[in-house]
Amino acid sequence: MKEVLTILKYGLKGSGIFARRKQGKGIPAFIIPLIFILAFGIPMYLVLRESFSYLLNTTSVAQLEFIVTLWCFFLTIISITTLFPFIIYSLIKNEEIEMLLSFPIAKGSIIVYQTILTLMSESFLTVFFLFGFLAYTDSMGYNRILSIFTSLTYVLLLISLSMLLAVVLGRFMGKHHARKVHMIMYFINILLFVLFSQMNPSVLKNMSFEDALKRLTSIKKFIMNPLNPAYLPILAIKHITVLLIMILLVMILFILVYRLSEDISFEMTYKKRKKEVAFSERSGKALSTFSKDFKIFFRNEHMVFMMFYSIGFPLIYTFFSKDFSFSFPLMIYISSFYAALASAFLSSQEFLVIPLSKSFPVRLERLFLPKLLIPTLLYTLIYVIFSIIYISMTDNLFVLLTVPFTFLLYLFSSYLGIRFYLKKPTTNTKKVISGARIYVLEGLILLVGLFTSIAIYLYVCMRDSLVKFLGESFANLVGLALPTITSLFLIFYISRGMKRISDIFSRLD
Amino acid sequence: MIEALNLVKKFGDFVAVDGINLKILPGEIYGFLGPNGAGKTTTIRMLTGTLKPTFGKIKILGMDMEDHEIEIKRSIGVVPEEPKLYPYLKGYEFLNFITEIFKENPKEMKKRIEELCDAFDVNFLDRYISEYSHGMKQKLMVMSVLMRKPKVVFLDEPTVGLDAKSAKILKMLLKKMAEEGATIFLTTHVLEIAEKMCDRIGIIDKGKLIAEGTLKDLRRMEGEFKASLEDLFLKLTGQGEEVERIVREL
Repeated sequence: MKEVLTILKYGLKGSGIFARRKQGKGIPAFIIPLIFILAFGIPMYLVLRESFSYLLNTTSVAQLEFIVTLWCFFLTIISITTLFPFIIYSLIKNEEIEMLLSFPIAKGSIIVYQTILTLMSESFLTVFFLFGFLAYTDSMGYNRILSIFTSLTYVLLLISLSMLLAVVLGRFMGKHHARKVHMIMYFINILLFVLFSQMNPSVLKNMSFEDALKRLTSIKKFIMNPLNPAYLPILAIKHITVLLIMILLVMILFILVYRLSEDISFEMTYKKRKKEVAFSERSGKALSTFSKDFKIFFRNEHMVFMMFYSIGFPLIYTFFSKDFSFSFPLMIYISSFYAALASAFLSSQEFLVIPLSKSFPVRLERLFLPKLLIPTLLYTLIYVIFSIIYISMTDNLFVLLTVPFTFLLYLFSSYLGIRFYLKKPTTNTKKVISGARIYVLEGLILLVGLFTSIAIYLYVCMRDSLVKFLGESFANLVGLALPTITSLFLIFYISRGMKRISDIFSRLD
Repeated sequence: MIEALNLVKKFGDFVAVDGINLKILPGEIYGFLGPNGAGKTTTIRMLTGTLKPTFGKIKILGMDMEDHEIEIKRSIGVVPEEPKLYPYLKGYEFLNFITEIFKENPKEMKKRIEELCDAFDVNFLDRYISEYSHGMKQKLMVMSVLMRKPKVVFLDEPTVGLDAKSAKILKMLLKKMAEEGATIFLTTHVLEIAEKMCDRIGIIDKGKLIAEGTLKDLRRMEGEFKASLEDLFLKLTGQGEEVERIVREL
């Protein structure tokens, strides 16, 4: 434990989230997450306590217990699926680990250290659980000290479970796979979060009373089962033996993590296999830059995530709200912003390899054309898919008229992404555009989106409301003339802009 | 052939390269030496068309850089100081990309890659470049140039990161290429390499070419007929006495 504290003491000074703090100056490293925890935790505690007290007065203790266990269950799933891939990824990615391995420190301590760093950047888990559970136990009138102790033990249980999973699965993963798993789990988590947050009693409305009762009973049976770890804190607050079992479990898991971690190498693992490599049969450069950027795009998990998210989120929203009127503009806005980020990311890959990229026998405009077209075409494809889903649900074929306008919006967004990136290029490919520039970019895209795709969508799909709101002639002006004129301007602006992009890039070092 | 006439590069008020003239003939291996920050990399970048000179003319294989940049780039090979490669590509995908973008014959390239893989002990082409060590990246970069057999090759510190065997093979291959008529322009801090490999040596300091010629010429110039290249280099750049003083004080 002492060695964990020692490396933590120095590690916190240099880790990403605290790196900006100058030595001896500013606030201590642990203060930032603490402020975050209190800033989110206290209001959450107050709101939840109010809700739990209300539920207790209007329903029964058993029902409140059921709701809190259900809440614990969701939180447990989300916590573990967030933490374990994050730990694996951090262990493989963190260059500091290599240095730590050369010190006389147990590997288990390195894992605990990395987990603590992970927790500090993902402290929402602690906030949600500690303050939520306290709100529940306070409304039930349980001992507060025991409640804090129980919830802390449960958080430790979740952490140790995540560490165990990380240690076991981390043995089979290389850097590339760890990154992929981390991103896939991140995506799954968001979907789970959206699904869980959208789950409400209205789902039961469509069922008969008997069916609803049956469904609820089966859920209750599954959730309020002593074998379900999420039920443990609820039981532990009432029965000290359960709390002792939890403590014992935490200890066993920690010992297991320490034992198993001694065998892991923390290295990128490679399977000793001789894979056949496929050499190109193609000659000529027309497609070479496209196929290279296409591969790069699909191998970055953020890019793939953004693509799925831009259609997934509006679809989930539509599924629950049964209404497209808001999900279309939402989809247009999210996807056009992501198109800008994607083109900025692809540009960053070229900046990373300067001067190699400048030594290719192609004009720089040609090198940047795929960065403009790949995000545009992929997001247009997604938009078309979304439109087809819309058509299948509404039979309104006119929505296809919005496709060319949205294509131009994506083209403009991608162009802006490249320009914004090249204005202040960075080798940090996770934050290709940062600071105030991201808000300017969002604002510009939103504005042009409103003038083009969203305006034409409102005109084509919600014409009656638009005419009612603006009047016939003004609706025609806003819904038809404005998008057409703006789009013509965009074509002119982008066609002139490519030369400017190559000029800027040629000046970069 | 490489020709540079009164080449100047300024970064604001700072003059990185100050009126350099070069003429390197086919079949020649030219060593371009200089202390850190002397202007070696800036010169290479101008000669390879990746940095525009503030002033001066560059001709490669008889073609003017201003008018024939793309043709020149297609005919030359560049191994930059740092092997920066696309991290999301696999090794063989990068070589495929080079084959396509330089419009090379895929069949010939495949054969050549296999030969070079054997020579440099490369068995990692199926892995992502992001997982490569510096040495692995350097090997891939060197292979991507050598596979094309360019008529002019620029190498900036090519042996850094290479193991002894690969470095030896690279040096021998460069000699062979020069014998076949290629022009080789290389910078290195390992003066033994320059001494053994290069037909002519140019020494740059503070942006100016302060000495040029064969090792014999340089010795004659300094009147030290048995001096090693290292001694000559330190004397020419005015660092010899400083080195002795530092060691004495330590």
